Amino acid sequence: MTTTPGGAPSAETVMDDAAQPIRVEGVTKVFRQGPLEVHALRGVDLVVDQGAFAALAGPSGCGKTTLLNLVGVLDTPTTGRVIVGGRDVSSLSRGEAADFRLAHVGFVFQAYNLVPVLIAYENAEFTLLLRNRDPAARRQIVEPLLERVGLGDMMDRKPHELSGGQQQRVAVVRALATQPSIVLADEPTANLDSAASDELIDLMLELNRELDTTFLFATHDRAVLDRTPWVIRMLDGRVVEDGASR
Amino acid sequence: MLAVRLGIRNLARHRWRTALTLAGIALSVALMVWSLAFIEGWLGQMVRAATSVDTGQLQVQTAGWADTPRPYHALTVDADLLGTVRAVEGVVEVSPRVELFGIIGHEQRSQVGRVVGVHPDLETAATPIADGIVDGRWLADEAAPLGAPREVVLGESLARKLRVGAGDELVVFAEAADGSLGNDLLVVVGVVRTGNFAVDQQSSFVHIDDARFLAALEGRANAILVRTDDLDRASSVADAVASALGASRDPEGLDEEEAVVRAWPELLPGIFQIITVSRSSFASMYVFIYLVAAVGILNTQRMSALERRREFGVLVAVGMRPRRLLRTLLVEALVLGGAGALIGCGLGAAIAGYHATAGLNLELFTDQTSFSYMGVAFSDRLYAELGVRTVVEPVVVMLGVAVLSGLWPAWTAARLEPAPTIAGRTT
Ligand SMILES: Nc1ncnc2c1ncn2[C@@H]1O[C@H](COP(=O)(O)OP(=O)(O)OP(=O)(O)O)[C@@H](O)[C@H]1O
Ligand SMILES: [Mg+2]
Repeated sequence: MTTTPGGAPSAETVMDDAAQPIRVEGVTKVFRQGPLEVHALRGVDLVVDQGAFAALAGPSGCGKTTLLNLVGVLDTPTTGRVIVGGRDVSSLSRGEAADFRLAHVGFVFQAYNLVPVLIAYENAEFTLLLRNRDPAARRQIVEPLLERVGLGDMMDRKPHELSGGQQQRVAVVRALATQPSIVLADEPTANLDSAASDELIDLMLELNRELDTTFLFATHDRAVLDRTPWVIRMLDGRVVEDGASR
Repeated sequence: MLAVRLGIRNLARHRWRTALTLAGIALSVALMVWSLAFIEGWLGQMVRAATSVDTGQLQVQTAGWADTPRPYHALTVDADLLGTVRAVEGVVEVSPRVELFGIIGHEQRSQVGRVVGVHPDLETAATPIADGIVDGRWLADEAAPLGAPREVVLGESLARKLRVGAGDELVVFAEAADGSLGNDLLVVVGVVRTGNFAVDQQSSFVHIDDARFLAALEGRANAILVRTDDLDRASSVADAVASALGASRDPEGLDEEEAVVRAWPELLPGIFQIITVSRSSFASMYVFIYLVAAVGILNTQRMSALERRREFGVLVAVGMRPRRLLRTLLVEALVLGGAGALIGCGLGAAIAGYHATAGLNLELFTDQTSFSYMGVAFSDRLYAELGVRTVVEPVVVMLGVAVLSGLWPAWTAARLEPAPTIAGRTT
């Protein structure tokens, strides 16, 4: 059992508001680099609704990746609480955090998402394999998804035989295969040209609508932000504009 | 299994690195199999040479004889007793012996020596002594008729020292069981060379009834020599013989006349100790060979793990538990070590197998023409012995070494923090 610094309820407590898969409450994050303290987040409050498609925007170094890592349970806040899918994840052990991510969070990173020695299909089914699903069940889930993202005839290719956009689509399938409550993507289009970037965003938008999965991602890309219904602007470790109303 | 799949593919991805590491592991294991086969062959040859001629693999004696070999420490031997011993599983042949110590003389020369009374036919079945006749013949099956000279076969060196050969006469004086000094006239019928110095330099063989007459040991014997089919099973066969006879395995604390069954490690403690010492000193050589292989595996796994940090970061980020990553990387090391060990085992077994039948000509290494160690002469060819242990042990040890050498790289990888690793912040 873990208790947050504020004496809040334990991590096991299920918050009543399941319609808000992401709640960030008064979160700060300080990185120590020897004698130096880097205040990456200076008090962030954020609520993302179920089924939202939201982008974190802001200049380099404003804290987008740091915030995504806290929401994705890859890191813990210095102060404040992070609640994902109704569970306080502010202080889980390494093993618990891995289990939580596997069960509730899908990830798409900027690059090098895939295991180079595994073919597209094996990469896509990886999270299901970690959940010990049998091969038939994995195939039933992964094949239609790969077809859906337009990779039906490339399932046997190794990552280096796929374009950057195709690799990202495999990563999207891997993220969605376990039906997570949220999908997090840190600059998923940064290594793509504008056509591939548009395609990926369109695909994620469609999947967001079809599956009602909550998407939260970080981007610099103006073209991407233009297609995003909800933009959260950050500056210097704070949320300065929450465009939920747009 | 995911771990095996990842392991094999990652190894296949760096063909050269993998091939070099595999070659190192395979050579280590091949060297191990080969040298183990030779050490076992050499030790086995030594024990066989020592036991086959002089002691057998086990003996039934009296506790008194086990303590001090005096002629009056003797067992009453009849057909029933011999039958009981022979019926024990693992016993191949039995040969009762009377063993006397005395002086053997010819004209002006005399030598202190051992007079061994044997049943010529039983002894021929139980030991290869009769095969070593270099002059004359082996003893006649029946003891000499009354008045006829009693027959003796001499060890080659003893015959040379006495300057006698087949047809010559000898006088023998030996202590009898009743404390008197027995003496007799013998005629040399043969000279024998066995390669065992204790036999060739000191021993003479006479018919057991002649020895009994000389030592006043009617119907008795000092020891029953037992030949078994398998050296390694000598102790367990000795246990079985002891229980069949209701005898003890340890002379300690017994009355002098009580029977005791002793296997070759007890009969030849010196040789047994040599074997123990040899095995443990070769063990330190193994450690060195395996250390070289371990460094190879460690280096390969470490390099591979460093190159794949970002990949590991992603795997942990998407939900692989650090423990599972650790296990996966250990399996990779096992795949590497196992593949190398199997190749090496095949290679080593093939070479050792060749040397098990063809032998290794020791004259290649020295210009000596006879080889002996601990009083046991070797042939000029040393034969490797390829047993299950010789083949399996190096492989099993290598698998252990692979896991141990993979442990540190795998542990480091499993401790990676996924967030900074993916961001490329780790150094
Ligand atoms: N592990 C760390 N150790 C030290 N400083 C860090 C660490 N991670 C982030 N920072 C610092 O925290 C601040 C926020 O970094 P973050 O990566 O969240 O920015 P970002 O908005 O994602 O920027 P970019 O758009 O360039 O990706 C930066 O000043 C960064 O240098
Ligand atoms: Mg960033």
